[in-house]
Amino acid sequence: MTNGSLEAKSRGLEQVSVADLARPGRLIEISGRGANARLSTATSLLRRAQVEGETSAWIQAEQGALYPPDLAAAGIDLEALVVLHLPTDQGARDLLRATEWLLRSGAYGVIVVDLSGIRPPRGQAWCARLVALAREHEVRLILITDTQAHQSSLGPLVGLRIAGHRSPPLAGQCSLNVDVLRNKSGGPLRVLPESWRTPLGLEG
Amino acid sequence: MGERSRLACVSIPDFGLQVALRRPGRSADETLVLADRPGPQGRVTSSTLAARRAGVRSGLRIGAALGLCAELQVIVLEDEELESAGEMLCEALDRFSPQVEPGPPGSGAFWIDPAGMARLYGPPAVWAEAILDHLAEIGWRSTVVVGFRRFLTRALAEFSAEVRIFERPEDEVAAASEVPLRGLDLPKRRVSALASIEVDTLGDLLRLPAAELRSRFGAEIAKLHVDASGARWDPLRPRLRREPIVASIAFDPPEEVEERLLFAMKGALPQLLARLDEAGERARALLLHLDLGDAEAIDLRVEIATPTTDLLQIVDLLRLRLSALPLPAAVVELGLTLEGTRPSRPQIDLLAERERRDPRLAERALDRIRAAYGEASVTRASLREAHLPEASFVWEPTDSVRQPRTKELAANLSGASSCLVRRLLRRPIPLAASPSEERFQEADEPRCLPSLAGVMPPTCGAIRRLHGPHRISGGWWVRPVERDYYYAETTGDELLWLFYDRPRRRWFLHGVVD
Repeated sequence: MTNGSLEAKSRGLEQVSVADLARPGRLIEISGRGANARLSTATSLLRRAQVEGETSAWIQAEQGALYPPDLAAAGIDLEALVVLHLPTDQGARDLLRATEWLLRSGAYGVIVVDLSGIRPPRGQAWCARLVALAREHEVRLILITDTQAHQSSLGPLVGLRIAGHRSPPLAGQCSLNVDVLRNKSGGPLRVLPESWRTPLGLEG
Repeated sequence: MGERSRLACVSIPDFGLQVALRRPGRSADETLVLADRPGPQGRVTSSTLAARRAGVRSGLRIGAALGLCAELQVIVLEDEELESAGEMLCEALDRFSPQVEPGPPGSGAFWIDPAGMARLYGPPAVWAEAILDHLAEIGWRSTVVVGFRRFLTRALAEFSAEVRIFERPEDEVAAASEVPLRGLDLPKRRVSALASIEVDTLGDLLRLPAAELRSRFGAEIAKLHVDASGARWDPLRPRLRREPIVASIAFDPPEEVEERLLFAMKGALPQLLARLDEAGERARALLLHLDLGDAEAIDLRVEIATPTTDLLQIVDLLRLRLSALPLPAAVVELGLTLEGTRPSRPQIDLLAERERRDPRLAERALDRIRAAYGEASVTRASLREAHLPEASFVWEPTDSVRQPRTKELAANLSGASSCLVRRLLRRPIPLAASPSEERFQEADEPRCLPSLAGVMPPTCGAIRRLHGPHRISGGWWVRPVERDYYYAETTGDELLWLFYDRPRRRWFLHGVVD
């Protein structure tokens, strides 16, 4: 048993892996600004859902920056991933509208919405609708935002808010530490640090 | 024998493969095969030239084929896709004859009646060439044989690379005698048994006594003998074409309120759906023609992934499509056309578990998104073999949802660590020239670090270390591309993906590790 896990156990923290964070029926916000590991964390959660046989969708802006070869390298079944490209001239309105349609169908097990660089709508009504639908249909709803850890989240209805930190690359590996900023179900969580592979060409 | 008893066979060689290669972004240069079923136990049914060069042959198991060529792309076509392509070809052939009979599903064979076409096209050879040219125009490779017998024309068409016209039935039988038995979709055991007594072609087969064939080689070979001899004559059984299902609504005065247009359509749709239902079909698309008087007319097409006769579902899609459409003028007249398709009959599997997520509902949700935001808004990524990162994938429009391959994913998951992924900018952003640009241009090597000012936020910081280079070059046949890719660590702990464009001697930001 490592020092970290001993310490966590003594403090009564539940220890989980990154992939275990996304439980069905929750709205998960992955926060951060700039290049940390938001997309990689979302990919890890998506992969877990796909392994469990869940249908999946990824929603991004029309000029979104998703890079499918890396998703394939990270173990995502691209054939089973529907990617929506939606306009952002009205902020996140169209992305969240499409998210609601997908949630309402009850036919998707995991939906990732990339809101990086996109302003979410004011108020909490949209968030309440999404949370209720995600709960009703047991959908993992993952929102990627670029608010920093010390800034406020999308709202009080977000069930789990996390932020990842990546160490500098070394010998083709990076260490990923995920901080749980908020967890509305269960006690405090400690996410076990994980060693992740770096993309092709980055051996460090 | 007069012109009326003539028959032409249009054959689409490698029909399934041609259908697969028509998918967006596909190319005949790819190492691609068709399989009869998903998974490593499936067998190769057809392959591209590149795959054959890699040693992949029809009949090989997919697992073995992947062992020969790791980059092999495997496609399993669905019956609906083949049916849809067959339907499209029938419609294309309608302009060459009023009587078109499609062959067995997925066969790529079509029989058409040339009777009466001489006045329009002249001799049969010209008519056949016109068919070939038209199919080539719409992207199909084909052969045409004009003869007299269904079986013989098809056998000859499948083994010919050009148009063939037979003036007499005897000539047709004589030409067919050269057709090899291998490749006629006969049981391999029977073909091998015939080959052992040196019967390799239809001509060899015809020389055998017909009376003993059934007892020695089975019913299929006996039937083949009858067909090859030209003794049996099957009349053409052309497909029945129904009247197009259309409705027209005139507005006086012209109407521009979306709700009123919608209600007018809602009133006309039940009758159209009932006519479609009578024909045993369901709506797969709805075409909308908006006549705007002096302004230019608008034509819209609303696709429905899962064919339906549900009025509310169709009205919902129309509402979404109309709400996303700015009308430059009021609508004078509105035309509605329903395209139908016969519903596929799924195999009844009493022991199968009911899926937790309903794919029909998933597709219905995608229909709504496509209706509101256009066909290109719903996609699936397809990887390509290419050197440049931006060319290594395409977004293919899709209307269906697939279940993930859980067994393969789980197998890959065990023991493998997670992987960091990158964001790729749609267009690389040029980075500002550094103060030592002159010196670095002379040296033709990137000896100075690019500046991130104005491109990245201040929190990103400056570059403190570069990892690389990883050189990518190509495109010499269009515009030479030579890039040195680097990963740049910044003082703000970010990891950027940059390249130095050697021909342009400039740095670009192409992505970030996120």
